[in-house]
Amino acid sequence: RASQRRRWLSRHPSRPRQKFCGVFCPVEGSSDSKTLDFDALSVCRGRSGGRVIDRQSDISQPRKVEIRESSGKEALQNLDDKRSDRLLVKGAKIVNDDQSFCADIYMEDGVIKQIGENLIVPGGVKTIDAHGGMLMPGGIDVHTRFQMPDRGMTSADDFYQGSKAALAGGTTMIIDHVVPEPGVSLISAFEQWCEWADSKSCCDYSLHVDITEWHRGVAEEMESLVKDHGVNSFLVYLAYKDVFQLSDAQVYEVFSVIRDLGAVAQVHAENGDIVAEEQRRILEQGITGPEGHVLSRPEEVEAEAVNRAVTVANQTNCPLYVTKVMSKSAADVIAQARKKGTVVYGEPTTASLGTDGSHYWSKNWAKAAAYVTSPPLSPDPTTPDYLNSLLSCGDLQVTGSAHCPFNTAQRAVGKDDFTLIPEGVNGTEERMSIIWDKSVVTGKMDENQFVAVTSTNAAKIFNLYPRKGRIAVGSDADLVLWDPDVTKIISAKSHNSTVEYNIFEGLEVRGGPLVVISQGKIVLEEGNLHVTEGSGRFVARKPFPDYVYKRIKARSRMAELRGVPRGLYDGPVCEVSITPKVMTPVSSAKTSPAKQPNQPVRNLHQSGFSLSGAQVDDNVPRRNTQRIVAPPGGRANITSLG
Amino acid sequence: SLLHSVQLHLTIPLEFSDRLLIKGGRIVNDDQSFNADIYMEDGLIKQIGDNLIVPGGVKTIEANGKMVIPGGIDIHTRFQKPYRGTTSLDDFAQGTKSALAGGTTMIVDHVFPVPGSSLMEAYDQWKQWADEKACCDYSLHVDITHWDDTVKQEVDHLVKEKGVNSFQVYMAYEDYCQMTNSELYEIFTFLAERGGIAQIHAENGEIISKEQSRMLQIGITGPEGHVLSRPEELEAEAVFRAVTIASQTNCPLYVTRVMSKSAADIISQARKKGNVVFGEPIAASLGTDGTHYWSKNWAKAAYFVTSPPLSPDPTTPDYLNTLLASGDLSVTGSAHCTFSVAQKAIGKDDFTQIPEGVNGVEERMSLIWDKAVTTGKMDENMFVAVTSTNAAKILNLYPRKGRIAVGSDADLVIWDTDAVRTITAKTHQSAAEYNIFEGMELRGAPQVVICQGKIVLEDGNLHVTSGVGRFIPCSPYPDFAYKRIKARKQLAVLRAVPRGMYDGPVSEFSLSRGGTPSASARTSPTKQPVRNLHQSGFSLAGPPTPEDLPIRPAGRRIVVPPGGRSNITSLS
Repeated sequence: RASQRRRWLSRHPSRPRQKFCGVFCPVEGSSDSKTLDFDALSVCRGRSGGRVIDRQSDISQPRKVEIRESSGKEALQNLDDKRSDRLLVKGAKIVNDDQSFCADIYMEDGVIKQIGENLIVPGGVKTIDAHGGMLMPGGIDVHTRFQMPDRGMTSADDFYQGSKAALAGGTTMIIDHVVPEPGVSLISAFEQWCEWADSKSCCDYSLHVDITEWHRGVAEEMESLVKDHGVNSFLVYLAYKDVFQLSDAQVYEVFSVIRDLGAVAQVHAENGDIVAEEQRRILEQGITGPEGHVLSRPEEVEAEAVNRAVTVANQTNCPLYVTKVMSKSAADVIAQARKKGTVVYGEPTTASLGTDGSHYWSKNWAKAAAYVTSPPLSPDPTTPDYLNSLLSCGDLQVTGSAHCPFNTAQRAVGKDDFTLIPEGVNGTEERMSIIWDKSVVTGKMDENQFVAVTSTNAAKIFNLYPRKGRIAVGSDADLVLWDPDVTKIISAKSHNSTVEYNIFEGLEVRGGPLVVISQGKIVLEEGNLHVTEGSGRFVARKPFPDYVYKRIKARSRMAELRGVPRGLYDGPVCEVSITPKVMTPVSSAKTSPAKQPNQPVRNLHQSGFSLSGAQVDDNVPRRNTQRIVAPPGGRANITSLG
Repeated sequence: SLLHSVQLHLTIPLEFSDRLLIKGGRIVNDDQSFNADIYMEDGLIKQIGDNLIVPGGVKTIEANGKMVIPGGIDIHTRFQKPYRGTTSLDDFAQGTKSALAGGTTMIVDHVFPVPGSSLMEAYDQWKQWADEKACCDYSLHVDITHWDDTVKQEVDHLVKEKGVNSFQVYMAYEDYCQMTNSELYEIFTFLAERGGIAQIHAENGEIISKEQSRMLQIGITGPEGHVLSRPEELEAEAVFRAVTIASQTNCPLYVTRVMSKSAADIISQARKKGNVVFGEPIAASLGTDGTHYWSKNWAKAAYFVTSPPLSPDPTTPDYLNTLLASGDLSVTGSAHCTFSVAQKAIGKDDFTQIPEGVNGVEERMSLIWDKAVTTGKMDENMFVAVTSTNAAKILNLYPRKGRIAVGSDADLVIWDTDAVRTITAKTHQSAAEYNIFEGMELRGAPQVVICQGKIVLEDGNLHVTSGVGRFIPCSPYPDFAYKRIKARKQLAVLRAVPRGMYDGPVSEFSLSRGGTPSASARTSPTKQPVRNLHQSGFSLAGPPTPEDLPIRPAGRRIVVPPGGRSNITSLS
């Protein structure tokens, strides 16, 4: 059923959601004019006991949530047993990425139907009184790796535990990575992941697909994934030599394909060649523990790869998305590239925002190993603060968790060789709280920017906006009632993940979800989770997200190259030996003069062709971002010098 | 004329040219300028001072307060470079003659062994060519065009026995002499151990070949395709990567041919972070730009073809001169390698076939004077540093070369700051038909050039002798580069954390996928016997340090985490 729905969704992604057509049908644009008097239309008008909620006017009093159900008497119609499908949040401060305002929200069938004050809602509605609490779009964790296979093992949290942990932290949608083993078809891997997620996920999900090898067939599968399966992002690895790593030339080709398809190129940025050399050197020196992991992957190696990826992306005019920004230098490279105008996004993870890599030197092997992830956490303890600052100022845009924990017995596969330790840390549950604690409480960002980096930006980049990432009429009813004051000590004893250790163990964070609503249903209230395994839907994503591709499209139009029209060279040509020195064998063979004996004298006008549409400034050759001063015209006799 | 014969004393043998006195000159070194006379004999500077007592029979030059500077060192030339059966126009005779005419008294040429061939043979070949023909002293860089154990041994031999301390590797020219990152890592590691300097040609070759085929596909076959397929970003990217690898391997890095602003920026950033990296802009990038690639005159456009290409951004020369003046770029070369129009025409229908190289050995010093000194960017001392002294320091030839001091080689230039000349192919010494600086008017030129204690240029007349140039061996571990490297090496001892044995359960796993297969095979857990607790925390080298303080690579300070527990498997 779920896969049928997915297919339907991918086939009709733009089809408007079905409107509720009862008496209480919301007026188009009702959210725009919040003073609309619904009372005039209400059947319940004047009924004294009709008000379910007593508005608490003094919000300085301790906030608490009241969830009540109406008696059911006034429920006149459309009330079958789907009570939980109708939900009203009263008295909330709605926080979007652009503004905050006070209003009530009415949800039905998992979709936000009305926003405004004094909403007219049908009976049988579950009501939440927010008492002025912040209601924000549910978080989107853009990077998870639930039940990821690794050498016959599977990461500790599957889609059920993972998405449950996500919901417990206020995240109502996850985007997982499909990792096809080299040699396995992308589509079959994708279907495998869908099957796992459909049967287990408790919240909506979408999928990135990793490109782990490169040949023509992969390009065709990518096209099919984009056009028929609702995937619009692909990850390439610059690390993991001899396993997943692609060469620069391959990355160039992948990026070109991705740009033509309108998808987003994601990159795992580390120089795999250097990492492999360093690993060998460090093992030779007898360093076999987890500290070898970070020693063999210094942050410079990450920054270098980010820089290279930016270069290739610029060259191919492809939007770039750097996953797992773990170090200051990598973040700096992204910030610089953005200043130069590159379309590039950076994703710090919960781990890099919340802790550092000093724990790799822990004498407790299992603790040290629990931090192993790639790129590694930076041993520089000022890193989290720095990354939070860049996240606040917009140089980094989205946050993921890269949640992929392994339990200690699994980690112990690498007890004598750090290169064998399975990689991945927890973070999907802690993500929102940690960002709130590190960035909002410290005054680095405001609540709106918080929504932007935990939810809205992700939705925009991956073309889910405004269905996800915004509180608006018609958007999905994925909401979080956020308590900025609650404090909590993170511990493996109380977390929802199945692993024995939490890398944020003992960290006290302020801010957490009070109520989480996913698909219009309350899944978390007063610390109690009510999740349903398998209720998560696959959310198809269309290519060419505006947020990303507007600039790319404009630049593609600018980037036409043009040859210089010249006469035929008619001077002497030096003899050359044919054998050696071939830079690009194909191209030289193609235009070898010897092979075109019957080519007529070249028309001067032909040689200066343009590929598409004439421009006003046709005579000025240029690349995008590269303006070139046209030199003064040459002479008629092209061989004369001086 | 400036020359006067001093009265002869009969007791002195008549060796005019070997004894030379410069009177009334203003000596300019890289650190200071002062007025003094210089007496030279047997090709060496013997005395510096006022009122020198000199033997008779000395040729005297009245400098009249003009600047006397150390002769220039052109740290990058490619004379008589073989290219697909032809040879670049200027051989060692023609090339060094041009050099001397411009005030350069020493050149360092690149030995380019064809990939797969022996480095030693190529070195011998180049040395033979130069010994026969060079008119001034020379040294050699050797390019590493492929990498295996034989090459490794040859490099070792060249460093220890043959006086080569610098080796260039290529990040461009895919499928020809391009090195992979792993090879670069190994080469840099090796050079760092042997005290060599790693030079790089920095461009991302893989992306270039992609771009080249794209250009040809859309029908761009002229020289503009050369620069379009090699945008400056690709240069900057490669420089960044090379800096990363060099810093990882703690090897001094030297970037040849800095052609663009972004590449220069990366170098200055890296230097700010403390990396040992030197940047070499060339005469072409300091003097002209890449707008000429769009010339309608094919031959003219082709004459500018070199790699990395000249940047089409016309503000580049000014920017590079500024960084040179501020010390962010250290040395200047010319990468002089000229071809005739007919040779360039090999690529008339395909820009990728155009032989690469531009002129510059003769114009280098005047260009820098004109662009950087007359504009007030740098002073005369900095001028000496970037044209001569820094190069001598990097090559470990200082103070024999690059300084006016007693005991140094008598390679001097009397520099005329007011001379103005117009560069043109009609008057230049090179055999090329075109000069990329054609028509440029430059202020500042050598008036007298003294090489090996002999006057080779006076009043525009060259008196050079082919074959007098000597090979100057460069010894490893130049202080200028290696003092810091050595200090960091001592700091960079890595240390494992002493832990007990992990005694908990171990998950089953298949061996199919691992980070580095070789490493995993070596330390596969099944093969390991029970390990002694004390063995696991050993250190390899360096002075003993407190057990619990792990030492990390230079430049990376790490807060030591609080100590672990004794039971290593317990968590929380």
